Amino acid sequence: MLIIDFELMKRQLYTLILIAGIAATAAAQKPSKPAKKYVGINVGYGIAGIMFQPDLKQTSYAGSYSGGLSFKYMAEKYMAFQAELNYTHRGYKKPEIGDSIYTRTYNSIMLPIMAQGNVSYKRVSVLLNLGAYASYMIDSKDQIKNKGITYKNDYDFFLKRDRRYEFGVLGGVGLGFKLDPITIQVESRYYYGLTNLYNPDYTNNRPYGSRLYQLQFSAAILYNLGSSTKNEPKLTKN
Amino acid sequence: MSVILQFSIFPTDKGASVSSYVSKAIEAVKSAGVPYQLTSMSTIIETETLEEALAIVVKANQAIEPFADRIYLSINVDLRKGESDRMQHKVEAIQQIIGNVNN
Repeated sequence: MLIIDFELMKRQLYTLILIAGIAATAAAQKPSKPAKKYVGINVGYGIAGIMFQPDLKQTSYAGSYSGGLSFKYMAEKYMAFQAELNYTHRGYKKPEIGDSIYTRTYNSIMLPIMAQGNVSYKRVSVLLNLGAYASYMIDSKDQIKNKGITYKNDYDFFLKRDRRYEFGVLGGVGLGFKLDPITIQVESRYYYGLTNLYNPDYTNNRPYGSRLYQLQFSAAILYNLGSSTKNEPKLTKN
Repeated sequence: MSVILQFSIFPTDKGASVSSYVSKAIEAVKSAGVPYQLTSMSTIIETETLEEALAIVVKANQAIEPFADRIYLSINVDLRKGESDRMQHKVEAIQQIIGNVNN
C-alpha cells in the first residue's frame, strides 16, 4: 500500500510557498526604473549526491551537468527575479557487496525560480541567489562495477518505491558582466532537496531519508530584451 | 490464467552465507509488484502469464549477476487456466481440511 506522509509534504510545501513568496515579493516591488527583461542560455557542471539517513557510506557523483534556458526580470536596482528551465543530469554512488560500487544517475527537467540580489559596480555585478526548484525525473540508469566489469541497466521505476517528482531550495553566489546588450553570469549554486528519492514506507525506513543535493558551477549568457515601461518625460525648465 | 512459480537463486562462489546476495534478488521480486512469498528455501510468485513470471526470474538473476561468477537457479511452475489468487487459495484449501497451518 502506498502511504504518503502528508505532514512532511505540508511542511515542505509551506517552505516552498514562503520562499516563492519572498521571491515574488522581491520581484513585484514597484519599479523605481524601467524593468529590464533578459533571456538566454545556461550551462553548468558540478557534483551531485544523495543524503541517505542513516548514512549508507554514499559518495558524490562528479559528473553532474545541466543546461537550459534562462529568464531574468529586473525591476529594481538591487533585486531581480530569475527563472530557468533546465535539463539536469545528476547521480550518486554507494558501496555494495564486496568491493562493488553502485552508481545511479538520473536525468530531470528542472525549474529553478530565484530572487536575485544584485550589487553593481560599473560593468560588474555581484549576485546572490535564493529560491526554490521543482523537477521531474525523465529517466534513470544504474550500474554496478565489480572487479573491473561494469554492469549497466536502465533503471526500472517502481511506483511504490521511486519518486520522480522532486522539489527543494537553492542558494548561490555569482558575478555578472554587463556587455550591453549581452550580460554574462557565472555562478556557483547549491540545490538542497526536500523530498525523498525512495519512499521510506517501501524501504521500511532503511533508509528513512534519501534527499538529493547538487553543487553546480554554471555560466549563462543573457540578452537584454529592453525595458518594459516607457521612458517617463523629463522635467525641463521653460 | 494463474501462474505460480517457485524459484531458488543464489551464488555458489560466495561461501556459506549468501543472504546479502539473495536480498538483491528478493528486492527485484519486490519491485515487480506481484504477489510473492519468501520462504526459507525458495521464493514463490504469482503472475497472470508465464512470460511475466520468467521476466521476474530474469530480473532476480540480473540483480545477483554482477556479484557472482556462478549462480544456482531452480524453478518449478504450476500453470492453471481460469483461476486467480491461487497462491493464497491453495493454502486455504489445506486449512479447510486440517485447520490453521504455519503457526
